[in-house]
Amino acid sequence: MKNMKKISIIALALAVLVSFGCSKDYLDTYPTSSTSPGTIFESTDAAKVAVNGLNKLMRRQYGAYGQGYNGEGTVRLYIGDYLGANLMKGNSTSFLNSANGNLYVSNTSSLGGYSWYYYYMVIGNANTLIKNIDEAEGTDGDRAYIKAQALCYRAYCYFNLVQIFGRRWSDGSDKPSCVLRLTGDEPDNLDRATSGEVYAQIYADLDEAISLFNKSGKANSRRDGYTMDLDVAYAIYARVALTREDWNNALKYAQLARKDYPLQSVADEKAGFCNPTSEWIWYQYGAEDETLYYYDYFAYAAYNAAASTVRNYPLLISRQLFDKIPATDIRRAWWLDPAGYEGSFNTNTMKASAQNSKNKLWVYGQDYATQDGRVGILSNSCVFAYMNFKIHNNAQPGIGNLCLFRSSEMLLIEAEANYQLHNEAAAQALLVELNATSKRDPAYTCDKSGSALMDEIKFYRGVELWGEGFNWFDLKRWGDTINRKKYADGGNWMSQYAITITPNEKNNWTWCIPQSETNYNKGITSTAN
Amino acid sequence: MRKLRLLFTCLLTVLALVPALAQTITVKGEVKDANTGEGVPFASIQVKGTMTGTATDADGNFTIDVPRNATLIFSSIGYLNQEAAVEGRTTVNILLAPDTESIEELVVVAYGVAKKESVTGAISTVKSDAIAQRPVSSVSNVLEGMATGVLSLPGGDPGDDASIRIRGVGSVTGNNTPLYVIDGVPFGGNISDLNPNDIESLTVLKDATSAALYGNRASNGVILITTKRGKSDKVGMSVSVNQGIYNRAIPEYDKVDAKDFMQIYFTGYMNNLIASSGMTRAEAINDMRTNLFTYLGEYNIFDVPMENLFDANGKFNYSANILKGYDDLNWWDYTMRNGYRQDYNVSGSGASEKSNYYFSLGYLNEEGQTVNSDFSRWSGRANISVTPVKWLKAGANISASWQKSNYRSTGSTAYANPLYQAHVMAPIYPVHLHNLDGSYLLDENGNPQYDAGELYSRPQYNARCAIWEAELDTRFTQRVTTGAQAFADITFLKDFTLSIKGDVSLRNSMDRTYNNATIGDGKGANGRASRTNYLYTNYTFQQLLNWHHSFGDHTLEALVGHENYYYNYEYQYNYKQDETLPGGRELDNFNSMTSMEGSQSGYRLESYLSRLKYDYMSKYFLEGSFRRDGTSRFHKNNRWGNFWSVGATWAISREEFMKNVGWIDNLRYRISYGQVGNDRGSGYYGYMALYGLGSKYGGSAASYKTQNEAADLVWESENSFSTALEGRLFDRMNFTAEYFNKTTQDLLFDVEHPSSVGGISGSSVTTATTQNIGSVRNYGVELSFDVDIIKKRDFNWNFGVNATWMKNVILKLPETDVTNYDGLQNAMRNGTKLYAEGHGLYDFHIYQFAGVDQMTGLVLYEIDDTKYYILDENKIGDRWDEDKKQLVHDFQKSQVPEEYRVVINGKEYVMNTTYAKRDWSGSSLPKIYGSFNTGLRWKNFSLSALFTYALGSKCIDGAYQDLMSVSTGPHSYHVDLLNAWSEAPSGMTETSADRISKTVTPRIDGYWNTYTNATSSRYLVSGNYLIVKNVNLAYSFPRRWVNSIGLGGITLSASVDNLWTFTARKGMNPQQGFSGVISGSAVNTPRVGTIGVKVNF
Repeated sequence: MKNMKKISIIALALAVLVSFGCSKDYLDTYPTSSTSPGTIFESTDAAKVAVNGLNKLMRRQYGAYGQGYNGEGTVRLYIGDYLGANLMKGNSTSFLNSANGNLYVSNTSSLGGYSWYYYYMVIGNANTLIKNIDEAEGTDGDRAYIKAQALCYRAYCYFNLVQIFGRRWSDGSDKPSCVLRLTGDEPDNLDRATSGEVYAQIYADLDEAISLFNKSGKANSRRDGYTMDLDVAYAIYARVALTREDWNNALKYAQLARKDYPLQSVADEKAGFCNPTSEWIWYQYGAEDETLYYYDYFAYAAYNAAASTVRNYPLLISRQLFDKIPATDIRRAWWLDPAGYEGSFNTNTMKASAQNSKNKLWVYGQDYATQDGRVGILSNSCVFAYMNFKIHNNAQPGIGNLCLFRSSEMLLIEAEANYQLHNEAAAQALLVELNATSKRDPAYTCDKSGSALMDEIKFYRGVELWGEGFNWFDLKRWGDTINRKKYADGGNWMSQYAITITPNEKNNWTWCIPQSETNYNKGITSTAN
Repeated sequence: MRKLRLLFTCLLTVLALVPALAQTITVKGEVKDANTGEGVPFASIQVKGTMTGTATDADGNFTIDVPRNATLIFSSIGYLNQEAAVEGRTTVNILLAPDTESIEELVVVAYGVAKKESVTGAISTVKSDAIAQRPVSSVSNVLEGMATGVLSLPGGDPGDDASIRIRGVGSVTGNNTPLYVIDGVPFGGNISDLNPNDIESLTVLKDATSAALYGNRASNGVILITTKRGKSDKVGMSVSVNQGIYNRAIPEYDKVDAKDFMQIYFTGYMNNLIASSGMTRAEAINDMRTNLFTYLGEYNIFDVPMENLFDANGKFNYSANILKGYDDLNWWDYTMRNGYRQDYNVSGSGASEKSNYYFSLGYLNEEGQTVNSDFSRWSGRANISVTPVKWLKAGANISASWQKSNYRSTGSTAYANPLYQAHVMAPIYPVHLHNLDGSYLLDENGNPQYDAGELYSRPQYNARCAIWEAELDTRFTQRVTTGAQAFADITFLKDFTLSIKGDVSLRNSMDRTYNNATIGDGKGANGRASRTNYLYTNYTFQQLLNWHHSFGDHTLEALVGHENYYYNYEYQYNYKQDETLPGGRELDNFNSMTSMEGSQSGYRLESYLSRLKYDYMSKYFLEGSFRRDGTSRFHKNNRWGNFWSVGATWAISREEFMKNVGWIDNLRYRISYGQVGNDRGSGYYGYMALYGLGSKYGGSAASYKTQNEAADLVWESENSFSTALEGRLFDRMNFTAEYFNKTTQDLLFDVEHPSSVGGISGSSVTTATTQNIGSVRNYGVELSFDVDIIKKRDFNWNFGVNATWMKNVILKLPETDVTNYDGLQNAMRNGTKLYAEGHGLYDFHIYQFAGVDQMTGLVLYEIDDTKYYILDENKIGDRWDEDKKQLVHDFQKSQVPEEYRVVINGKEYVMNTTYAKRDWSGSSLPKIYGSFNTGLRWKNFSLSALFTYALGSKCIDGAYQDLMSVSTGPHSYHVDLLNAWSEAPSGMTETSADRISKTVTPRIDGYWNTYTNATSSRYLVSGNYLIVKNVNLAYSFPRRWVNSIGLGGITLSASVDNLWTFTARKGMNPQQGFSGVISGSAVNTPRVGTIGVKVNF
């Protein structure tokens, strides 16, 4: 009896213990700030969020590499322009080593490492989309449209990689460039593909994308110029083909790309390149509620940006380019012409002396900004001879829409392709269309031929597309020499930038494969470019 | 009938007492400790053979009326009983000998308390009296040097918790922090939430046996924190007040003054012009002299015009003097300070058979070593328990704290970190604006104005001034924590106890930031402000059934239990910009919303636990435990794990054969083995593939991969073996010697893929997938020893030392992730470290500095000959072939470009780290660490000192590297640059045997700087340190006098933490972190000095 009681009490105590055991799903927890790929690829509606994710990846902060790394804008400015011959950052030596070509061989350089990491981050996400979208619920049209978009992003990214990490087409199509990953299932250890192979894949992606866009029945159904559609595919194709020296395709796709995007008006040329115009084919969205703060392209480029890197080190045009711009060209007003103010700026840095001394050029620069309906520069901004007034921003510290493809470039691609195909008259006519017909330089005529005509095309690419990230890519593909001169020699480069870099110097302008790759990829059989 | 019998008994008793009463005398006396001579308070005195007795007072005095021939029995816990016959004496003084054999000391262990002698695992305890000596705001800081096997690094800012590693580093992916358990319940908060004054003890559970009952969170060790409760039946109260100073314990590096700065800067820039722009030396000097003010800004602090500062040879004009007005060139003066520290505590306690209670109220306010860093805390606690009936004990612990920590340099960007700016700012830039003649440029009210660098175009931190920003900006965290714990112990059937415990803790933490519209990050946005809110909810529910049974010489104890743990936090973030009224810091003052987001995260555990203990004659102890744990961090299929341990202790001294060995006491041997786990290397949803939500592009949702899937993840498990011998020699020396070996398996590893696989983060360069791979072993020996050198009535002196020898080695990395760098297989790189089999987790693997070429002054590195060549041979190198799973000899090496290579005396060197070889270069973990301490007591004075040390570690001194770097931007420089190479020593030739020197400082050259100052073994330095961790002096007023004014005790004390630190280089703080990479932006160890008074009632 006593034992019975004891046992029942113990049993009761154990029952108390066990009764507190939790329900079966107690340990199931789910995140609320992210979701699973299963949800993303369940339907085409959800997958659209991932397509938009590709856009976002091309415009977000990459703080791992430092302030200023913002996706595509960084490649445009830091590589496309800082490394070239037409644009400088006044009085700044921050980019000295990269601008002088000393970092191409550095496998730890932020610029090389970033370009690689960023483009592959987009490619990795695009690959997942391409692989999974066929299983998503939705219409065939929607699936085709999404897949076509993803293929275009991938093609665009590989195109940039092959330009940065591969040799120029003319002497390097058989040389290794970047690693080609298309499904995400490849082994980590994978050797580099040759430039030729990468271009072949870019073509294949664009061909498939164009066919899918057409099949989708909604090729040009996008609402906004900052998302991907068939016209963007054409525009990418044109730029790729030009770089690949495939003149016929360059011509064909440039024409297709710009047919619905008439050249912008003179007023738009003066409007600061921060809001879409009639000729913008593809751009990046930028607004206050999607600010990248001090990382934004405009926080580095826009003359009226509040960022100190602009206020103290604004973008300047190379005097060697500027001086060639005809007086009748409205684009000359994109930069501060110091004529008549000699002596009131430093001839090494181009800087008008400190703002408190109310230097003449400084006063003029302040006024100049507000001429022609422009937004003024900030009162605490420094004024430099030859400083940029082409690009401004919509809001602080540097917010605007960044154009990636526009018709003027397409037109110049046509001109260059025509020249290479020996259609000189067509090339001349296109230059007239760009300059005179558009009223950018009403006095413009063109009767140049031969290499002088090619130089003319190069010159107008330099002027029209200044600051938009083309110069270094152009110089590299042309095999041109960078020849920067000091003020005394007719240029305006700071003394340490005033050097000559020939096409075959400095590792053939080819960035070496960054450590973040070679540390983990032992499939790479050669580090030589 | 019954009544009659009672009456009869009473009568008999009275009759028996009458003669005794007649012969009664009054005996007075004092009971003292035989060792210390201190009075023994509350010792019990009993008349032998009767129920009559009394107790001593707080000083050890007693008075008792007893029969002339009585025998008194004196007893007190911790002392041997002693008998004394009165024999008519009226004064009986007694010296009680401490009972070293059977100190019935109770220690806190997992899920309960245990007699110290019965413990079979490895534990260390720090008691409240040691805590009270230390002026710390977070009690985690007292562990440094106090326990063997515990490596602890102090925090730098007020309120910072210490970083603690117990018996090495087992996990790789980051979480190596111990589990904190407060009053029996796992703690989710910050240790600085607790008032150190409320803490009775810290117990560190170091091995599997002591910690196994914490299952999958135990492998990093467990720290049990027990709060105070009422102990004695004396109702007591104490008030303490401490006042002190908080400043920097580590000095700044030796930096050059303004004149030397000018010379070094000039040289570096000039050489850059020559190398990068092809100028001649004369052209470069001319360029520099002309353009100096565009390179340095229009600052000329010297009394000589800018163009005359340098001569035609590029030499600085040292006769130039700094203009009188520039008395603000040292940014340190405006960044560091002596912060004031105040600490007030009131507490009360009492205990009786039926209840006990403790309550306290504390206020702490610490100003940090950097301007605008401070910490204040209000804390309150009430611990109450009652025993209304014999079989029930129940109670509650209730605590609350409010704290605010203000603007910390820690974690702010280089642009806004005043500490870092003071470290790197060139010594020619003043803090304030000046006129050209050097006088202050005053504002309209006649006050000095901070210099943002814009007026004179300062190239360094232009448009920034962190000192000014720190003044105008807000960056603080405010935290409110409340905790409530209720428990009930129900005793039934004699041997059983059912304990039920519930604990809820809520924490609300709000980070407030404000960036002003005048200067700094908020300027472009016209001011901006953010609020980040975290609301944490934690609860634990515990049911334990205990059985304790003794029969004959055997004692058995069994425990079964269930516990569930719930942790959830809700996060909310709001960011607005464009202020309406200048300086208004509330969100209402801003007009545009830039960000608003929020989410929740949760973590849950469910566990079943059990333990069995057996004790035979207090001679042999056996213990085994088992726990089954489920965690929400892993996939359903891998969620549950089993953890267990066994341990035994042999009290050798209790054996018959030891009876006659007088010189050794308390000799014990213990041994334990077990398996515990760690689930914290994984994120809360670590096994899921994730696409991030919350970003948008073009106004629509945008989502991309943020985590790769890892469905197979399980916890890391750790097999731990521990064995120890301890004892007491000659009744004055204690020793413990212990060996441990821990092997962590199934390591949770973030396995990096090549970047081309596709990154998953923008804020770090990572493509990682979390995997369970590899294993790491930590093993070592812990020794501790202390001795009473002098043991006199009024004079005691003791000395103690402890040391931990430890080694950390990676045993296995997975073959599937074989990575071949620099000829190594199965390796994985992490910054300056390389994870490789046979090497430690903290082993440096960095570019190998070969020396400085004395012909050119350039730094030479050893060539990476697996990928590159200089001379023609060996053009083909090895590479790992994934298909063949072997090294194949077909790797096409490339030649090092001409400008970066040199062959000296037949050996190849490179000058650019891209082509340089990386190799093993020591470890950032010390080989030996520990402490020594000494205590001196003379009459009412006591003096104690604690020293901590670590030996055998290496650091990469990044803060020094900063100062050795001379690029085109101005920067502060280390004095070592004054001895930089300038030309080849006379007689040196291309083929000289001593052409390469490791001691020469390389040439100052802005062009080569990237390569000469790359992170390499050149910046490796010994991480050894010796720290005078604490010195404490106290004086207690004589008790008689204190009592006479109606108080229980008054103690005055003075204490200093981190009085002095000895390291290999002035300025360097090897205690910044375990990784051994030292940064100039970190807040270093503080020196905290206080004086205080404590009054007991």
